[in-house]
Amino acid sequence: MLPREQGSGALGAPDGDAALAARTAGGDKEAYALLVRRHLPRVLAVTRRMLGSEALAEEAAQEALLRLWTHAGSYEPEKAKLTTWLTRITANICLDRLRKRNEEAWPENFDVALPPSQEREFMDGQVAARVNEALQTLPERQRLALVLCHYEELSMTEAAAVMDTTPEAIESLLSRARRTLRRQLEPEWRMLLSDDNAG
Amino acid sequence: MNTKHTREYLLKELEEALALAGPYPRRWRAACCARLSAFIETDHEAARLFAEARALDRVLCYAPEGKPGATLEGCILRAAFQSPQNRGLPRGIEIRLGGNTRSRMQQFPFRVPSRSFWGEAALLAASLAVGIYIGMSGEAVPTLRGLDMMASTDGDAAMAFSGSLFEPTGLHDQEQL
Repeated sequence: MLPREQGSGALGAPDGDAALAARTAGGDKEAYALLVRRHLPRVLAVTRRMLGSEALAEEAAQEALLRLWTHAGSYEPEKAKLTTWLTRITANICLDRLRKRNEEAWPENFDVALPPSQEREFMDGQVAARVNEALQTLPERQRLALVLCHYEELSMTEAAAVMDTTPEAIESLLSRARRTLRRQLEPEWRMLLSDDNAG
Repeated sequence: MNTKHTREYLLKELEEALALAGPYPRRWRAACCARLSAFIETDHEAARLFAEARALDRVLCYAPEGKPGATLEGCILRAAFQSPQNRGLPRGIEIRLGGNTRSRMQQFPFRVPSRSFWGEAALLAASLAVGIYIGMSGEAVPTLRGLDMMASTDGDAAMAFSGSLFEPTGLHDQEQL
């Protein structure tokens, strides 16, 4: 059986996003709270995979959603869906922080996962740490393309709009990212394959 | 093209499709989707590549996904409500969204004057008020007389025009005579 299909249009605007954004621009706190509840999980998922640390991801997500409050007036629904606009802001914040990280000293083991008590969970935690590590070694734009297309299930066109580039460039970034991860995570995926064969 | 070449070509094509879109045939290019799907069913090597791509995809699913903590949403709302909202972006700043965007200046050419504009306006108003006061009080008349003298005399008299603004030396000498 083939794995779950990833469809395009993941940025399909939830009903009323534009109206809520307009109310937010007018200072409506309830509308803003609704938007935060609606978009926080996606924003956090992007920042988590881009920045590799829970604490940094929460900070970046907070900054992105704060901009939704302070700059809601500059959102133009006829030009982009709110999700695209917000993902774009989130992506830019992540890229800015990654650039600053490269310039500054970065604490080692800044986000060490606590080892779960059960062995299986521990193994999962180990694999998760390895995947996280491998993601963080990707060049920023390759990582962003992968996060948007693979994890957030955006189409190439949507990802291109977020990253201000062409679908062809996204294809190239994705292709390089996957090839690198395939190489880096070979022990992990081979282990899964052997588990499947043994089963 | 013989069978071997066709197989090699298809393997290469499959490898590229897997690298680009992962093991999701619906995301592959429409032109090659059916061909590659059939190829996976019949070719051992192709099936192996596909299985490896699926395994990699499962491994990638282990990447930690941020889960909003109970307090994060509250923190965001508190921080936001303490921040002023921008009713427009500052001059020269724009949030870019593709190639169709315009800066706020382009959208709103008749923008609210900046603080520096008001400073300049206040200075102009103050200088106008001082000018009116001086004109009404008549204190500028000696100055005007002095200027008139300068215009009517030669260069030496003009050189003698010095000191206080309202007491040109040339005028004093003339009155003493």
